[in-house]
Amino acid sequence: MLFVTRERLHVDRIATAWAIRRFVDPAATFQFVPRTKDVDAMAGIPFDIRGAELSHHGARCTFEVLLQRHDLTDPALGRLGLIVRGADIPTEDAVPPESSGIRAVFDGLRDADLSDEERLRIGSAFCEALYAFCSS
Amino acid sequence: MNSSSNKWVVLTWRLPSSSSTPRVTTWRTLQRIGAVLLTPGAAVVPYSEDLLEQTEWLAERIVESGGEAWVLPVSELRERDEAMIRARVRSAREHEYETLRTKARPGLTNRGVVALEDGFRSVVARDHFHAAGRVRARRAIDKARVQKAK
Repeated sequence: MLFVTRERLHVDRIATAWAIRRFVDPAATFQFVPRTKDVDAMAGIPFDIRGAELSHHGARCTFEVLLQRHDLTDPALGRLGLIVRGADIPTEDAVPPESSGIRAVFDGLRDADLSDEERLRIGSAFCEALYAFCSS
Repeated sequence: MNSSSNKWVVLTWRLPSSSSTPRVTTWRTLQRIGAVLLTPGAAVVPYSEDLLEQTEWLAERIVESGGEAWVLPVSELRERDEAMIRARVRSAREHEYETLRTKARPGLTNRGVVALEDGFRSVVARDHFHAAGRVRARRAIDKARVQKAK
């Protein structure tokens, strides 16, 4: 499956892409577009884009919506979801303590001189590590 | 980034009159990101990639609640309007720093000092124009840490 999201990846888009490849479709490919792009006419499935089905809904971030849509009920993923939400939207109530550090790491990853493919590769390794942490 | 010419992000919105929860969520989020209310239904923050993103998600929540919202990155405003916005952000932060400073007294528990640090961190995050009170609050909290109960 082809997925489309906004370029200059940050934590929610990276965690979502990581979980898509890890739990939904190992062969998934990703396309990154400017935030102003109208993705309706594009071939891929949009995510973390305003108005998309696979995006923020209410207080939930895109990663949490993905878990729900694909019945990914592993409690470790649920815990990871709360950390991602807090790192993505720091103004939320009850942000887990891990979130602010994770946010700093992904702020740096976004601002580093890298391609989005590299951001996804490096960020996915962080997600894998966080998932192990949440599983323990 | 091709948006380096943007200096401000304006949010305009309207919520259905029946909805009190989205109203509270909207107000609270704007407060937490250090936005300045321009008129009822219009607010502004300085442009940054992150504040644009936070504003977009707030707009999405407003739309999901049956309201309407526009997120408008703008390049520049009149000098006097920009000065007014900066002054209002600084004034709001001065007030918050002053509250933290008066809470930073000797004999606080460890938990009390950590709460002040948390409060300080969240005010700094929305202190877009470096209010002068930041240094005073920082010193007062440092002093409270030294003088805390055991």
